[in-house]
Amino acid sequence: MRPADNIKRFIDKAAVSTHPHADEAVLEAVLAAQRKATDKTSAATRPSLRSIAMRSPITTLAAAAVVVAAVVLFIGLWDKSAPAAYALDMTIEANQSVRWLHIKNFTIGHAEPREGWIEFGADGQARRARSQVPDWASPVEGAWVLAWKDDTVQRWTKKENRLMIAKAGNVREQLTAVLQELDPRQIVAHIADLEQRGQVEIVTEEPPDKTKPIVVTVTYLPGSDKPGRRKVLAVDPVTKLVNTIGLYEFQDGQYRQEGTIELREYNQPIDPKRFDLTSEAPPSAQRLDLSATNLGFPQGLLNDEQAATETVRAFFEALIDQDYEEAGRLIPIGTAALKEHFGKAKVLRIVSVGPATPTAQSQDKELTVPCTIEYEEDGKKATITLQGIRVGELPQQPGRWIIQTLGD
Amino acid sequence: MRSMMEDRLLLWTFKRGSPDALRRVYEKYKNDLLKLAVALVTDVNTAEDVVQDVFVCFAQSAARIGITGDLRKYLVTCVANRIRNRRRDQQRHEAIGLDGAESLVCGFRRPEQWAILNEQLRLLSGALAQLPYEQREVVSLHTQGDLTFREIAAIQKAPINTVQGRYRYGMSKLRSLLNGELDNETGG
Repeated sequence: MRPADNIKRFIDKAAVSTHPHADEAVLEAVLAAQRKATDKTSAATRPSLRSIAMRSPITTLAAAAVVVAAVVLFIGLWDKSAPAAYALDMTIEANQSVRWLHIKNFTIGHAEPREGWIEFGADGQARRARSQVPDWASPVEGAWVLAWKDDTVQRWTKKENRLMIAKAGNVREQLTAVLQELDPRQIVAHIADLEQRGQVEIVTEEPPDKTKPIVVTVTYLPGSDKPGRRKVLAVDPVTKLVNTIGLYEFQDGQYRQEGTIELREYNQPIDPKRFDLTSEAPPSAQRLDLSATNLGFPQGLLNDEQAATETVRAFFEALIDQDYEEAGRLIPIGTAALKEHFGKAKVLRIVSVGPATPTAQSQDKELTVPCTIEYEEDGKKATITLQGIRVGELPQQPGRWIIQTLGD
Repeated sequence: MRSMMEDRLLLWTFKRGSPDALRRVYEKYKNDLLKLAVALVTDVNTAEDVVQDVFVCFAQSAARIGITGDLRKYLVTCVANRIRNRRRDQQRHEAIGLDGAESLVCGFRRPEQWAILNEQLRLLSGALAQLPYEQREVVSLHTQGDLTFREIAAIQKAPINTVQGRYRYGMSKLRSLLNGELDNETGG
């Protein structure tokens, strides 16, 4: 044996094992650090925005996420009860004239806000909208911009430099539903109703100095749907429009501010280009048109379970053939991304796939399909079982199935 | 067997907050990292602190870490960098007269010793301790961390030829220091 082999063999034989009790303690400390980090992220991104749905590269690229994001962001910007601020009758009248709206949603601890722009038609219905989220609010994907106009939703993730285009589907209906809750007439009625039922307390302060804003404080009482919450609205004494909404939560014996919504730019026409990201995203951006008709696995006469299973099978068969274009039809993240992610390992065969079962806690048509594959990497063969592959229908294209994520 | 495919899937799920993925990463790499750390710092307690700290920081880094690349090399590099930082801090503390002024671990102490070294690792650690740190680092990162000389050169901020030279000198001295033990190995 050569000396070089000799010493390497000795180094290979040198080994460490771990004491089980200490091992358990260290692992628990590591997991606790993960939990803490996750909690912090959740707080920063507001779980109510279903940020979790935006965290998987694949899930985010499903058109469903685009549509959901379009709606939940608006909900996030205008917490449904926030317009309770419009408790002033004069504000009701003033709001009838609003055609353009720019919203900035600040969170304590972050200088950069989430923002939204909405253009309303003469009928008062939202016609176009745009929202953008800074890096801090989207720690995994990074900053993104979403625009909706006509029947299309576009979403540009800056870090990934990827522009997704999807059919808007029922965005208009969902957005309209959200905006209906922002209609001052309904809001006033709603607040009055809550007040009559003893669920909120409303205090209006009109300073003698008419240049200072009218302050409307809405406090949610115990037994209401949001106990411990408070919203403080500053109303312009001249226009009677709400300028800011302070968001508070009762903690440690006092109301602490969590954020502020600013609504200062009323009726300033919004450049139509803001609602079209195709020219805003750089030419180098990868463009994925999820409304394309060739995406997904065609269900045909298969039932849902069979379609989900065959979608997974087709995906790995495409990887076996190293046909990343075909694989990309089933996980729409782009051929280049797929090749980068899976190109270093050669998938040899599918050992088993299925059966598909409905995904627990999913309200959408989504199934989980286990799959075991054999692959070769660095000249060695191995198998791996993926328990959490989720498959669902492509939004707006019923009967065509895509893989939403390869695992949780 | 080391599996990059598995690692990519682990990273994928880890980034989605899966504790199972983190647990698997920990189980998969703790021994390799402990062995590397013992080789680099030649002190078990310090090695344990470093590795634990690397895992804790990794657990907190889901949002920042990329989904591509080699997970094992990433962790190995984390260990190497952390030890480098620790050495630099120690030198600074010594320079201003601070002794034992720091603990890397985030406020957590293990109840007992974590790493159990076999006889070969004890001997290897003792021999490595006699090498200059730069040589020790090259030998350990190349033979145990599977880093290429180019990757080590990036860590050491040194020309690749220098790194290769350090490796040759280090291995030669190590062979000499472990001569008797290697004879035993060859002999069976």
